[in-house]
Amino acid sequence: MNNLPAILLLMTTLLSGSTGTAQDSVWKRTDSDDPYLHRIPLRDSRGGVIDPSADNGSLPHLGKSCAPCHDVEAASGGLHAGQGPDGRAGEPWILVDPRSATRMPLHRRKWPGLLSPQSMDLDQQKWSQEFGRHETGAGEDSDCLVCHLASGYDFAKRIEQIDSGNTALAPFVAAGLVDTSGQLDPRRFDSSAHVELNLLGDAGSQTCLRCHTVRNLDEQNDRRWLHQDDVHLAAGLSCVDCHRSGIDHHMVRGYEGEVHPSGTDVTTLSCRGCHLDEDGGLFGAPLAEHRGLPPFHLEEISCTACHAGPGPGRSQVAQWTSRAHRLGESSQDRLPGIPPRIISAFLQRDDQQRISPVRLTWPDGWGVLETNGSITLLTPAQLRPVLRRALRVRSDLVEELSGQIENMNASSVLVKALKKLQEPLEAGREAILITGGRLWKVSDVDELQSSAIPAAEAVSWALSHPVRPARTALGAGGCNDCHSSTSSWLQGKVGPSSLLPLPDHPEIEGSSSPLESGIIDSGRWKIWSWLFLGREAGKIYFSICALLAISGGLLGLWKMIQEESR
Amino acid sequence: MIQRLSRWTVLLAFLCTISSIAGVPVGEELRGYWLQLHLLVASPLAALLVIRCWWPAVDTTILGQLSWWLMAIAMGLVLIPMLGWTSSQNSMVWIEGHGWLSLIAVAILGWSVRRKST
Repeated sequence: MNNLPAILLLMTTLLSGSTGTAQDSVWKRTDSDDPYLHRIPLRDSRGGVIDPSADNGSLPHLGKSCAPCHDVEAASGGLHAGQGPDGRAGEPWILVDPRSATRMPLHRRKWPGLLSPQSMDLDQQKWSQEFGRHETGAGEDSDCLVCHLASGYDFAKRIEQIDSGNTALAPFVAAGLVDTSGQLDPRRFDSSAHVELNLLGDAGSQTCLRCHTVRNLDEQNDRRWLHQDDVHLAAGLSCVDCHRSGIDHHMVRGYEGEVHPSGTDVTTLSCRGCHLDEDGGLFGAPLAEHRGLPPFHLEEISCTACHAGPGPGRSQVAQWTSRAHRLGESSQDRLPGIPPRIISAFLQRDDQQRISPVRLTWPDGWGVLETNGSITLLTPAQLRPVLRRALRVRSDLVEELSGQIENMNASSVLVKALKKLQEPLEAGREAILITGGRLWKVSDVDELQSSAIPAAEAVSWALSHPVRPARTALGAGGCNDCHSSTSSWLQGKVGPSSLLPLPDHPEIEGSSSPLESGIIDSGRWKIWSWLFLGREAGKIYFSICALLAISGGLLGLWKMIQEESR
Repeated sequence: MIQRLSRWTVLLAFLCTISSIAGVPVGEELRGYWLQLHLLVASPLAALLVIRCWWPAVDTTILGQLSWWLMAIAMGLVLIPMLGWTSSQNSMVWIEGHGWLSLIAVAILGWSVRRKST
């Protein structure tokens, strides 16, 4: 009888081992809503526990430190780390090189208009040095702490470390466990060589905003204090309440029609699913009523077009994003004009043919027009020596070229550079410049000539945040927010910009509005705008007519029935 | 005068019916140029309906008067979403109610004319 507990324990172990999944049996979980306080040892790259008093030069390894309890392999992948289906186009990474006037949007995912890292000669190491500052990393180099450490993570230090190539130690330096010289901080370890880390599944929105902040720029005044939070954050939700994931980090993106790699139905985690569907209402989300809005508007227009895109009376605005403008790094040089120029919000039809807001940026760069019509872009490393020789550029082509055009025509400077690039090319291949939304090359008479090509067109990606509540959404002021000849969001023009000064070429100023780009039938829209001038009077007119006609009709009918019955 | 207005009312009711054909399939909403045309025709029709309901033509039958009255009610139904008294999603119920009631009214009108002529 005394052996009964041991037998029961053995049976339980055997049964759970035979029926549970590997994940259930291996990985530690508390299954409580109460956050688990991580008081853990740090481990080196071989998995050995680090003793800070041993002073043997062992450096901590994040993957090995987390691996005893978590499926690090699964956690370092997922949509958030660039795996899984490409889905809807998201924000690109933008390679900016002032020395060669290159500004190229690129991404590992195959999204329209974007270059691959390989085409810009960016291997994993170069990519990490260029963009790792705002990327959580994948595989061995994943930084779990940047998202999950709720307090005490110095993001600026992380940027410093990654910029200097110290990727592996960056999370530990940022968390204050290791100093910048690579020495462990003994004060962070207790007597049993454990460190205490406030690690949480949801460490708060501020951890997401390290890489996902977007800031509007008022070019006249730098009024950053007017920035408004997303309504969901203001209501107390955090980003991961909607952008959920399991250990696989297949983070729900939350757009309509999203197919989640896990096969889970994530409809209710989209705006429409949560605020319009019967199954929605997560966290008591209000059911959007849109009183007075003809229903087909909900089919034709995405939620974000009115709630995250341009506000009433406000058209396009330049923006900074964390990833494109290195937000999070303290700097005195981040001036409104710094490249890349990102414009929000333009309206386009999305893949469900709904009018949706997007951000735009235009590519700049040099390349070769091949004989078959394709374009091979040149990397900054390939361009620098040529441009240095041709134009005597030392550090900043844009700045130095701006200085040169005081004395000579900007076109002739660029012609000089293009001819220098042309020198080593075989017959039939042409040196080209992509800027200002156009392709530029040297004509037979040594003049700069431009043409429109898809490769020079704006790259766009969906805009979803910050979400504004109903009172500040487009349409809050009535139908005339959109159906009016003074409606700015539909008629506000956006045009390409050029990193290079091209004052003698007005074609780069060519800009268009969403209305001109044909997202809606402009003729029909104009008639509606005209009709809506009298909409309020029309409501009164029809109401009076209906009341009079119903009462008169009833009276007439009553009289006729009475006469008939006599 | 009333007789002439009565003929105009019938003509506009017919045009309103024609311009609403694009919205007849269930769940399909009348929109675009057809809706603009529908509103254009409906505007004078609303006023004529008032006249038609208050001052029926001498040869109006009970069935004819019933059809105009139903048309007036149909006009009232579409005001519910127009005035923002219901949510956008529920608007379709009222808009479809407006459409079907109007069609029934036109059908009754046609029936009454046929009965009168036989």
